Amino acid sequence: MNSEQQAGPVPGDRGAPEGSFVNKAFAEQALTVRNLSVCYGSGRWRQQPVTAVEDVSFDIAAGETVGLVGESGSGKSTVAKAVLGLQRPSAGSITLNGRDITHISVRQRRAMVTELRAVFQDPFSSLSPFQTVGQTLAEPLRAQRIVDGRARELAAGAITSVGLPEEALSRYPHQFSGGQRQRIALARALVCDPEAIVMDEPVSALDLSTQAQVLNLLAELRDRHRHAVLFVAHDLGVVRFLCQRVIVLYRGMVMEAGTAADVTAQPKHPYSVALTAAAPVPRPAEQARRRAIRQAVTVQGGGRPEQGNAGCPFAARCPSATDVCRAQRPPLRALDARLVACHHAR
Amino acid sequence: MTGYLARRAFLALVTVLVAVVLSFLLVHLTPGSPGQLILGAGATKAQVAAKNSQIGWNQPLLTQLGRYLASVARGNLGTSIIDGHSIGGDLLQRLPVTGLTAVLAAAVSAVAGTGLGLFAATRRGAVDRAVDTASGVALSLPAFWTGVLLVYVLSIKAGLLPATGYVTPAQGLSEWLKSITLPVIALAIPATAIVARTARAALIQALREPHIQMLRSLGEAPWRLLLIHALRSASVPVVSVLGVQFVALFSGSVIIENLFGLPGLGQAASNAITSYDFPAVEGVVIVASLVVVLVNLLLDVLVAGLDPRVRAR
Amino acid sequence: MSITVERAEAPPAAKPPAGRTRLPRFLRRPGGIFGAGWLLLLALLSATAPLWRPYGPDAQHLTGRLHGPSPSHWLGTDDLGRDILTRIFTASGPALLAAALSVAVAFAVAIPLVLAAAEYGHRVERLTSRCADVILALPATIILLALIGAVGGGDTYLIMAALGVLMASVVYRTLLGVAQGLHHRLYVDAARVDGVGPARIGIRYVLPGMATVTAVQASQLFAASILIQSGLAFMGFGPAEPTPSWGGMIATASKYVYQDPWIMVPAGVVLALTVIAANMLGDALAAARHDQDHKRRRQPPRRATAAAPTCPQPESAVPGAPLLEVTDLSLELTGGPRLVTGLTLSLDAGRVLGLVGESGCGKTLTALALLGLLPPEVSSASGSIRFEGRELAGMGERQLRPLRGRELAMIPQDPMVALDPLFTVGFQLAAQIRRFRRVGRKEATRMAIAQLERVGIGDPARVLRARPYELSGGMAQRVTIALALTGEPRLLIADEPTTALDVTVQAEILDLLRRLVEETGVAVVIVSHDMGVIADICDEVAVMYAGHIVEQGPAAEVLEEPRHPYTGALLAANPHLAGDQAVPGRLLTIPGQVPAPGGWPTGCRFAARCRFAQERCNTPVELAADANGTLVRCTRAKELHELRTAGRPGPG
Repeated sequence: MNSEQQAGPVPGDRGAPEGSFVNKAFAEQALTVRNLSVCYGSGRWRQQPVTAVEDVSFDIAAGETVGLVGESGSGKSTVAKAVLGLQRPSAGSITLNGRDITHISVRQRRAMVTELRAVFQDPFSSLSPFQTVGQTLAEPLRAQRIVDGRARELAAGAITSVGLPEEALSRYPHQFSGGQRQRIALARALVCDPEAIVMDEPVSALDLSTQAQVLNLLAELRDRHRHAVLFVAHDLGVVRFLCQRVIVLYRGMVMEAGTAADVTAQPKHPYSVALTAAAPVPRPAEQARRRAIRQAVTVQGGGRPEQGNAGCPFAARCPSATDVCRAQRPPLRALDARLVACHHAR
Repeated sequence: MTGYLARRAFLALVTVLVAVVLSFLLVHLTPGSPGQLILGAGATKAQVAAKNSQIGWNQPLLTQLGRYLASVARGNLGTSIIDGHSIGGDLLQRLPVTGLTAVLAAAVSAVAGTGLGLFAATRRGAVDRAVDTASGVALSLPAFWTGVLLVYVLSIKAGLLPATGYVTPAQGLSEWLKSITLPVIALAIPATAIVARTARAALIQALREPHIQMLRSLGEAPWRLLLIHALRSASVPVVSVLGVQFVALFSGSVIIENLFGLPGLGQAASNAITSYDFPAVEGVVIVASLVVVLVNLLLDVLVAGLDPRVRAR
Repeated sequence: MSITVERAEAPPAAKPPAGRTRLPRFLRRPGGIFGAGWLLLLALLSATAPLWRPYGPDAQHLTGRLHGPSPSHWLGTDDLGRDILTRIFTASGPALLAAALSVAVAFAVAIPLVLAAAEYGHRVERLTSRCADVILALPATIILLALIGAVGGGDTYLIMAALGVLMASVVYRTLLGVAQGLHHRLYVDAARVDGVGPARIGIRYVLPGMATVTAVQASQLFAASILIQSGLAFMGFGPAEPTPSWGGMIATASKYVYQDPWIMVPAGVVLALTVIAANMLGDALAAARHDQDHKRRRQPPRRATAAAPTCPQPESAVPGAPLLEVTDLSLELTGGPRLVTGLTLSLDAGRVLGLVGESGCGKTLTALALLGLLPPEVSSASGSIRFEGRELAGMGERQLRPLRGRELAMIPQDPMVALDPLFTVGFQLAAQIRRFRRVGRKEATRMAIAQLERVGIGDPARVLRARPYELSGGMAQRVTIALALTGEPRLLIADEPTTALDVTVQAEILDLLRRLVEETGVAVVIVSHDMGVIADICDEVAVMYAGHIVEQGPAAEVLEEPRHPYTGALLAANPHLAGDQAVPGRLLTIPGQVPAPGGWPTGCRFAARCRFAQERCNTPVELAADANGTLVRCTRAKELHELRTAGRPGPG
């Protein structure tokens, strides 16, 4: 993979005006997100609007698996939901295969069902208990008016590609284990052979050994097919295993973006440093090393994070924060084949 | 808190308004006109028409409604078209009868129900199932039927309590209590059963809550866990169900008054209906709705005080 | 090396979806059987009444008035000599139909509104909910009386339909909560992504989920409707004479109760039985839904029983002995299979022990057993738990209570719900401080602030005034740690204390725990599924699988050089790597599934899934000390270790 091309949007490029022209570079990207912002709660009486996502931009090319990493409140799930149309963006654009899908209607989205699919986190509630596995897999095909024989063929193909037998189609979700259900959810995403798949923490709710099985399956799909995958996770280790590139989010904003190997091995943004140092590794000697880094990096935590000030969102917790950090939001700038939003990163 | 209060008060007002308009519309659906009823079968059409315009029956509906609302707002509920008595005055006298009976029944069921619920929640096993079955039966028994049975056993056979009739508290406290004991028991039986079930379920739920487990792990005494912490958590659903029960008791007392001869709102309602005294019918609906709505408002405030998370709604 | 996607194990044997070939759950309870049975019988008798009734409902026998039961009149005669049996079952048909009508109307009105409110979001929901609130607050009987005043009491069906509209508000309230809950389920989101339209979402995805609640409500409203109907008839507002009605018959009976008390009985009993039946049916349906709760209710809570010494030992601590010593502890589902077997651990003051394993291995139950906080359905079968020389297993609740908080304390998994949401942090903390240290309010507040500072909270005064739901996860966990430390316990038991937290916050909490251990010498047992957490904070670790320990020893040894194949496999399945490790193409996976309690083989419980299993693994395996002091439960441990050091594939 060529790291320069995949390093993300060109700095200074605020994104194409919505759908007004089709840049050749954009056409190669399967999924493009530009300046996406999502605000909740405006218009409700007595509730402050909450900015969940602010000015997030990235591209995913066909065949690429990109990880979107962050902790709670980072906005990563919101980005996924916005791409899937489950959450309305307040600003910015989302483009799939050159077509602007930011504000499309339910009917248009139905037509797009073969292009953009989803896998959700909770294997126990993402499959309807009232339908058989076969009926669930056939549901997206219905929107494309594919029914009966052809639908059954495609469903059977999808279920076997995730390692489950064809008889599974006539059973109900409650008869399967968590790992098997997640495979079924994956089959549901694959049944239409989509261009892009959004996965919202698909392995977070699984046991370690089940997680390994599903991760292997995802790695297999990554190697064999050309889907563009947006992989949302909170676990850097998982992202490093599976993704080629990673984007680190904090409080709705991009802090760092680059190849998975680079960002996890040598993080440049202080938040990425804190995140990698905090991720626990099952080797006591290594943990001791990380602990030392952690204690040098973190600042005393203090209560609920506050909203809406002008500076860098991480300034309150950053050990190397200065006045300029608190006053001015750092732009996302290119640094050694990756992007970092920090005034002081080298 | 004030925001919450304001919202609930506004809703209460709307409810009363709806009740008034509803009863007004219903009354005007009556076949025949008041004039006809007052003057009787022998009256001529002209006489009926004259009487009706005298009452104001022929004016457009909205005008009549407007005038009525205006006079209600001033506190005047009109006069009976049957015997001309002041409806407002009459209902005001009757209100304490129904109100006190319902309040007493609610209080009895609150105490007895919570006690039974506590008992069932702590004993579990066979005792629990017995209470469950007994309450299932108790809440199904029609209050008017148990009322008659109570009269038969305690009044006719045992002669302990009067079968019918009402004595105001002013006339004698113990006589008053005796006169309402049977109605209150009849009303309280189903209500106690419902409160007991709610209390039991809420207590069992509360005892499983993580924060109670945490206190248990710190060594808190079990009686404190049950009677202070769990009961507090459980009080919210219990108070809510009491609110619902009060509405039911108020409605139910309408039937009970008929049986025990209590001069309350229920009696006024059935008299008014059988004699087609439409202003009286409207009057009863207003007063009853007002009382029910006020009590619910009070309970809403109580619940919001107990559980601050409710105030955001 | 790349491992191709293995065929996942066959799904569990196809069970028919619940309810298809077996009797529905609610019919397997006495209440359900009685309720459904009686209602069906009544309906049958009512429908066929004209065929079998011995007399016409209006046939009067003026000479035989107010007679009790007799061979010619099984239930006696009323004041006009009419046969009561006939009249009861003539009245029952219309009564049941009218009640059914009101229930049908209630649901017909409420369900579309509920579906619309849940699907179309805030504005629609606000409108419909306000309307429902208003209708709910109206006194139903009085409104019905007003209606009767308008149209007369004879038209029962109209009145019951009006009751249905009033009851729709109750249905709306209950079902709205359910529908909204269902709407938030992920499968609804998934359906939206699938392009499913709002109508189909409502009908295929939300409505089926409301089925049970609907059935329960329908039964309860049916009962209420019959009661209200008869009540109105009792007052004289039912069907006009001579049409019989239950309420009317009771009213007549009440007039003659002095002369003939018997006639109060038949109509009343039939009415009561019908209402009871409907309510019991509703109960059975509701209980079938919460089946597990019901099972638990049947078993009264059991005290921990143990084969340990019968009386607790005297209090003096044995010098030099470990702080905590568990020997051969076994836990079982009361009256059922064992859940944990042969557990042996020991822990000294100032040391941290980790219990690690996947879900279902028994680690949480072990932790709860130490505090005597096992859930009622689990009890300890045998073994001993010695804390500072005192035997805890077999102690009753009364003896354990003084120890809790003062000697042993727990740190919960989810701090947000472990704190009382109705009170401020300060109130809760001060209450415990006053209980343990017996100080006044001011002093308790001062100590609370000091305690919060000790757990690393920068602004203790503000936190004292806050309510738990106003705090962040990390802050709340610090508060629960502060709470746990109030009694100055010597042993802390932490059940997955960081699972609910973000990774950076988790790191902070682990650092805090470390610091507290260093500063105060408290011992900690930490339960976790995350090997990384264990590596960070634990001195010793016990790896659990299927209810027993498979490897046990110093954390550094076990995690760097695991001896048991399961430990090795867990570490190899872990995607978290040290900075210098290369990313593998595929992770090592363990085929098969954990055997459930009750289905454990007598030999090695991991053998069925182990790469290195051989014939001799089918005999029971004990924990054996390895060369470097770790205990391993594997017959091939030594052999596999030698193979590995010789460069062949092994557990590590």
